Amino acid sequence: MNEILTIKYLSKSFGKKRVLENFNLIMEKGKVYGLLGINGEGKTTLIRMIMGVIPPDNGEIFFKNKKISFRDDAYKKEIGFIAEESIFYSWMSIKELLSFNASFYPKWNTRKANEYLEKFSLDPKTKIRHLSRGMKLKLGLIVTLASEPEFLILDDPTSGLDVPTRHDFLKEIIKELSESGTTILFSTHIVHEIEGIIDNLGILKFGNLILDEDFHELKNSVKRILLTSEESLEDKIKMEGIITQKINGSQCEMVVFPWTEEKKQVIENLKPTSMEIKPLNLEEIFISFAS
Amino acid sequence: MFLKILLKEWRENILIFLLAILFMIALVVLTLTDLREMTLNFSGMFLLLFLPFAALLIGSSGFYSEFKDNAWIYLFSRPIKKELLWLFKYISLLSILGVIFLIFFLVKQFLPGLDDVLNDIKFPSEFRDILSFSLYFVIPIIAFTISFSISILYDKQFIIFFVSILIGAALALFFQGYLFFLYMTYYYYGGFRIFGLFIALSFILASVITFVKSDFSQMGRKFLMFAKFVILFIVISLALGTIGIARGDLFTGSKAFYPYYSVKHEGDVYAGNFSRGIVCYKAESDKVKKMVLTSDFMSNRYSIGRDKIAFFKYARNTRYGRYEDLWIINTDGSEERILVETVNPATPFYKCSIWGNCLLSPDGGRVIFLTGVKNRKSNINEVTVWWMNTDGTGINKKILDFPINYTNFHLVAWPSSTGNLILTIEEKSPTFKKVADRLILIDLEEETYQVLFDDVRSEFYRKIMEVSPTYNHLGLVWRDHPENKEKLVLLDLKTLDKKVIFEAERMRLWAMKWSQDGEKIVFSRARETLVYTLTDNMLRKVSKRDYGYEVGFDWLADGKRLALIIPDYGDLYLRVFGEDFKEEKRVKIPYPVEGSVYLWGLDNKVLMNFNRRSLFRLDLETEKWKKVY
Repeated sequence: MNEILTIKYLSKSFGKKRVLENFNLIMEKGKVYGLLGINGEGKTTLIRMIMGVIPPDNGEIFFKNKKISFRDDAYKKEIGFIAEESIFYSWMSIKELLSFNASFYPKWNTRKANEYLEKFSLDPKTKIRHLSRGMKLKLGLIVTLASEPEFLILDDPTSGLDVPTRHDFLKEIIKELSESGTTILFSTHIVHEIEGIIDNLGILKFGNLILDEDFHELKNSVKRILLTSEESLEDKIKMEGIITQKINGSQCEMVVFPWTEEKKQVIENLKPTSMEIKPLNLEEIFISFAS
Repeated sequence: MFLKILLKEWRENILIFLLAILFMIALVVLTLTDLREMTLNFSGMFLLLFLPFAALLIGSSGFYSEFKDNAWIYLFSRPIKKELLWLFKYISLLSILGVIFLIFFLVKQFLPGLDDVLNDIKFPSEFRDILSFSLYFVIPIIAFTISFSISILYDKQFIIFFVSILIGAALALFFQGYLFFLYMTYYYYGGFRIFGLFIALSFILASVITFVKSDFSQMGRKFLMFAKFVILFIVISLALGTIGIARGDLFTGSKAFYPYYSVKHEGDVYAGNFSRGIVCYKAESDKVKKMVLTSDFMSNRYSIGRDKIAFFKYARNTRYGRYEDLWIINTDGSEERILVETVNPATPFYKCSIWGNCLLSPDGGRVIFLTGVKNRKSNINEVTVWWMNTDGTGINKKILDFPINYTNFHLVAWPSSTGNLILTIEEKSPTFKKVADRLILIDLEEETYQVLFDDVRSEFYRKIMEVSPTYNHLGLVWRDHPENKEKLVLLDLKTLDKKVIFEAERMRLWAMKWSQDGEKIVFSRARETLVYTLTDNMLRKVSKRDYGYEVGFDWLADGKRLALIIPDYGDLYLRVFGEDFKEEKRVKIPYPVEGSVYLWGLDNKVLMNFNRRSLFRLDLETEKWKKVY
């Protein structure tokens, strides 16, 4: 396997609240991994532990098959990180922040930083406290791109952004990065925006991954089934893989994963008067699994 | 990376720095306008108020900006070791304080008026100076370290600022109390800087460990971890500091041997040591023995007479504060006992303040010393001479009724044959400037005194005024008129006749030493060593050297042979001269030498001190060396 990030049995509590419990994850090189979860499910906590910002209570993290500890710093040279909030020194100017960061990264590309400053129309002399949220995101992105990371972690970066900015960010930058082979972990709760981008999908719930699949395979194998029968369908549908199910007398709507020929046969044995099999988009998949 | 952090921290604290500069500009203006009193007050305000508070403000700003914008998340996700980050920030902020110190010292250096007002403040130029670095600067550095260390715990800078003051005050009170306890127990009272250093280190270590290991997002856990480590390190500091103080040699160099206050007595060599008391090289056992353990020992304030040593010992209690008593001990180390108690209402010495040194009579049967008080009306020192038997009986006293202001009394000779006391005193002008050192003689029976010499050299850290072992003569340097040459004089202690044996424009005398029979005196001056013999009234030059600092020399126990250190092509040699002053032996010194070499001639042995912390004995027959201290 071409793993870039492996997480084993990671746990973290804040006071009495258990946020992550025996969390496991494997990410492959060159893929875009979408991490979904409703607010408070531990996405930010997970990312902060990967970045060495907070220590885990238990568990292990491996980056490029090398175990990393809370005190390690070398691996961070290869990881770009854009966080949810604007967490820069607000008194710094854009130029000062870029210069400050340049001292951390051996592969810092000043030319690239200047190019993106121009592309995003950011004045290097502007103070960070005068930037809008979208501009701060762009600045964070410039810092990340100039450090030429092998692995990019995005912690809900687009929440609160206007649509055009979000569109620019997702379609132009992230696609460009993923196409150039950068591995991306994209954590968000705005689901639909990553649909065209991700290769893998993970859904976080109750401190653990309840779904961790190749997104293209997932889309083919998760189906919404709409059934109508002459008789009541109550207690009649018995099979594994039903994610959600709504039965109303002789009508039933359910999401099944994985959808297979065997399961189709089970349904057909009930002799429904009609059976509709529909694909789900990412938002519907997320709602089905997260609800 | 460090430079970036340095610039960031400077930028964030530039206002405090500019305020310090404003303070110093005001100081310069005040000094130039020659308002001495205001300059002094303003300097005091700068040193005692501004500096500690600026240090606290700078320290408490440590992680403020990281908390303020949640920038710690950003910073921790960068590829930099957290301990380095802590250290870079600490050094960067400390450098602001350092530059303020430096500018202050430069202003002081180049402004004679200010240098004059603040003449007790010096910049540490070498490592040992750092330990004795003025409290004006030690306290701000400790305050800065405490506030910076705890600034990782909370985002409110003013809370950190006030908590730091509370912690600092509580620790200062605790350690002062503890030091007082140590002083009562171990006779040592110099550990504030040691504990200050340890406290600062405790906070640094606890802060770095917490910063590196704890979860920054959880204040409770972070606080608990910090508290656990800081308490642990303070307890360790307390233990280490106590051990150091109990041993008396940690950071203080108190094991150091002070050869200039040595006394050769009956074949043994006694020496005083500032913080440990009196030690003695016993020739018979060939070992150094600790004779007296006492604190704040003034190394020249003891006297030996036959089989007894008289010395002063400091003590302290809550009622009388710091006081000193006169003690007696036998030269074999037995029967240490108090002779003069100054805080005992039942004795005539109650509430007396002891001045200067003491002298034992040659037979060890009597002791003489001074007590004094300054008359606030006349501003003249009133001095009482006390003499008594060493068993505590036969107490006598005489009040010295000097009409002019004398100070710095030093007892020089008290020969039994005459009952006269010879001492040096420093005469002060009405404006308290030194006029001259006088050698005076007090007739204790007739209660009269006379000035024997108007202007004598009396640096008692050198052996330049020495009584012969037979108590017949006193050797001293005298200048009878400012325009005349300096004279090396022998004073006959019985007849008070003066005999000039050597004259020079500037005597530059390093030391003089009498032979055991009191018939010969060897002295080293400028770049030569000379011997004067009383019997034939002859002065002979024994050696000449190319450099002008002190060399070791002494008579051997037979009083005929002279041992002398002489350099030869960069090496040092011990040379022994016979009665006819011809060289009998030459031994190369195989040890590194720091500064001057001190030497004591014994019975076919020579004791030498090449550095302040060790003592070597050379057997002249076998030429074998032994480190005895």
